[in-house]
Amino acid sequence: MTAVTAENAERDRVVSQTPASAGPGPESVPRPGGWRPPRHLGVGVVTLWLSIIVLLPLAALTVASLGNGLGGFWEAVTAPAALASLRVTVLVSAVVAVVNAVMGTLIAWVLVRDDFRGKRVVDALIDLPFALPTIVASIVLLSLYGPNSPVGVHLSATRWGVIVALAFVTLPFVVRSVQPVLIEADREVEEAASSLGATGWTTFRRIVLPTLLPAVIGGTGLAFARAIGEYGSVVLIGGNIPRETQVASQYIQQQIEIDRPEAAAAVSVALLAIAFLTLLVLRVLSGRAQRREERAV
Amino acid sequence: MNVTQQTRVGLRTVALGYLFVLLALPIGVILYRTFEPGLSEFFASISTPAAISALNLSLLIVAIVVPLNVVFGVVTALALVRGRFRGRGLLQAVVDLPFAVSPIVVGVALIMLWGAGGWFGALDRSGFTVIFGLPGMVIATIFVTLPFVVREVEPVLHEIGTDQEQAASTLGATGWQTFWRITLPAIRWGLTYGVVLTVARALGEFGAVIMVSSGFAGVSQTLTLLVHARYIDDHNTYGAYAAATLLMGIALVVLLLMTVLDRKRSNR
Amino acid sequence: MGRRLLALTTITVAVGLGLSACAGGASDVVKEPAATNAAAVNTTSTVNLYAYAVPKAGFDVVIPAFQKTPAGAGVQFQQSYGASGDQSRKVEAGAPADFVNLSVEPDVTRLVDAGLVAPDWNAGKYRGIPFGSVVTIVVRKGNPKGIKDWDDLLKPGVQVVTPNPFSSGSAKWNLLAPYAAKSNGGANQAAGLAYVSQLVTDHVKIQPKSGREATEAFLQGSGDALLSYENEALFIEKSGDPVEHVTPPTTFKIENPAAVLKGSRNLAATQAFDDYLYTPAAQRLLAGAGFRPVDPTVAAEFSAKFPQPTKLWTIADLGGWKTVDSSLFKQDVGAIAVIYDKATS
Repeated sequence: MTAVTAENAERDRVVSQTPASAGPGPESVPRPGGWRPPRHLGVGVVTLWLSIIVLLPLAALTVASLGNGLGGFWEAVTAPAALASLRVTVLVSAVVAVVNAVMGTLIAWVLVRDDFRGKRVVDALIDLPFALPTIVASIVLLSLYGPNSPVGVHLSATRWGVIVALAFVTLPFVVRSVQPVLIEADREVEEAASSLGATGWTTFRRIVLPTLLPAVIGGTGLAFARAIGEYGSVVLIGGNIPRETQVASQYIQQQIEIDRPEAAAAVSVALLAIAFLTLLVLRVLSGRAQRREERAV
Repeated sequence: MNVTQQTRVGLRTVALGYLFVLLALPIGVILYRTFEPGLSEFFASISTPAAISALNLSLLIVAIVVPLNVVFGVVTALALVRGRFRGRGLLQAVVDLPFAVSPIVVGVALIMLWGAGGWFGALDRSGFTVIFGLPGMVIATIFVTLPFVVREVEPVLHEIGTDQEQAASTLGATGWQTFWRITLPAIRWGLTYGVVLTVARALGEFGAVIMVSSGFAGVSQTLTLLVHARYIDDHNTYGAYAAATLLMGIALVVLLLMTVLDRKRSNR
Repeated sequence: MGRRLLALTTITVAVGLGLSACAGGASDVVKEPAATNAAAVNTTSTVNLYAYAVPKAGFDVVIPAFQKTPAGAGVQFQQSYGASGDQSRKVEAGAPADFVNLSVEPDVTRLVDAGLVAPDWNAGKYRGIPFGSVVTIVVRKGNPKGIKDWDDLLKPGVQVVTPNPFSSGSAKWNLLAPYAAKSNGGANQAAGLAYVSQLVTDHVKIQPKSGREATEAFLQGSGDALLSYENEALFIEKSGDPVEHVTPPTTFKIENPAAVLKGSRNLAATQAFDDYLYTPAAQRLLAGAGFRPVDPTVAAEFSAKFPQPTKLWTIADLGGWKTVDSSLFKQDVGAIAVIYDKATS
């Protein structure tokens, strides 16, 4: 289905491009920058929405994390077990993010540009990890790759087990952010490049990758963030071994269970800060790639 | 881009091999365990009163969350891509944050905000139940699905640029016309995937929702909570697999519907 | 585009409405006889029950029986199950509960402190404990490692699965059993801790976050022995999994408290239900579901199903939960907490 609709997208694009070439240059446009919601309204709505849904709950969390003062916050975050779980989480999530960046882009490319029997079925399967309750995912992964593995792969109670579980639950991110961009991407430039003698790899590196980069980075950022917060699917196969496979989310759950909500909130805030910084760096990188591409065009 | 047949097959093999081990195998196991005892068992298992109530609730939550996410998601994406305002970079990074919050902490944070003793506790005390009611479950679901539409639409907005829209407005189209005729069609693939992912995640979310749901079977139990209840409380592993298969089925139907509607639209 | 979304929403809503036409409800039983649903006709009051996951099997039989008594006629139940600590914190945060049944007493104490449960909730004859169980060892069918008592768990090469006591308060029972056995009820603390230290350091590897996950990991091949509750062991044996359980001669009594909430909107019905749990009829049903009855007469009837261990220590023997929590489980200072911390560093 993607192939068919990709063609449609292509056609739409060609059709809708016609007036663009007929119109005058952007200099004479009264409102440069394309359509955007009435300026203040749009920004206001966005800020309000994000505040109510995201910022206020997180603010409440931050206030709670300071329930025992700054000293208490610092103590909770630097407790050896907390640090260990943060380290495991960041390490494992980074591996998962890299795996996703590479494999996700590859899968998206195969789903959009390749053609083979059963492609639609494969395309349809991609989102299922999200719809699957994490407990079911964890039972099934344990039965496939646990001590009684029918395929002889034993990942139970190892970091690889955690990585596999996280790769499973984060699979759709990169695939689904790269796919629409690939569909919309201008194939003529690629054709031109290869007709000028560029090899497949060169075309990919010079033409395709720069176009996809913002989407790849965006998807990878999301996958990383989700991996950092996830725990339902990893505890069973990872075995929850402190300093080995215990992730920060599980450590947070323990703090709540032993009635130390301030410590739980503090570690959550630390986790958020890590995610925030990582995402910020990715955004900057992505923005740079974006600008470079715009300049190139 | 023209790749040799060899490379093409090679790439395809790697992609499919990865998907097989990571995705197809586990899902195959679930389907096998669901349908091994026969179709009638499956239908009996997903049509108990509790399962039907759970399905209704899950669909109701999806029906509330998806339109909200689409409207606010598109507006947010437009503001983030096109807007030039102070703090844009900050908002950029804020959008992704919900994913980095452990689901259990989402629940805790929402209770601290909306619960009877929370910042907005007056709302609860005035008789409008948020936490341990439907609004709480909806808010929790929006929290965990908020980034999808924004993040799916954003790269497409970047990619399509603004030339066409500028042309349209030069030709005298009003802002709304430009939006409906040019912008929206262009971002529709991103939007489609955003919606599909939102639906899937809204159906599958457990950790955040369980914290703010009163958890009564038949009343405030979503399909995913039912899966957990069957597995944990009833030791009914088969029932859990059957309900999980139903959840995956709904996600598939949504993807299919979106694609069919997309195709209809583009053939018009 | 707009039309497309509209269409999708319409379809989703239509499907939802269509299904609403089917009979929804609380029952998750396949092909339920119509008679049970008919009880809904003359509803007089509803009792909201918040319990930890394990006793659901018991409530599934006790509640219908209660509804057949004069006191329970027309009383409807809304039931919520989950991890004991989670349920307790939910009720503390304002979940609309009338009746709670939790795994460990501190989870009820939390509600007493929050002013939701009367301080004298455990003043009755049975101290608020309607049923219980004992700590037991689940092994693979045929008991290939020959595990009979606590010492057998320390044999070289034996791996033990037990949930992490800090992820799941209910898992504290599992560790208290060998601790009490080895320390002679807390008298010789050093001996008890030496045992727990050896067990946790050398024989416990994975640390599932709940009892159910520990059972799952064990059933899927992890470890040689699983520390569990007797009722859980009976339950999984009944469902046909290739395991059996041995109850060591000296073990620990699991006491799961139940309490009525002060602010219950249906205090009369809730109190009637609480009273009913202690009647011989209810006690027999609970015993049938695998829980040890507290009524001595009924307990005698079921002595074959629940063999009396040589010595059964209780939480009171160790000084009560307050003492146990602060001396053994408190983070950074409790003896068992320190053992866990050292075991993995």
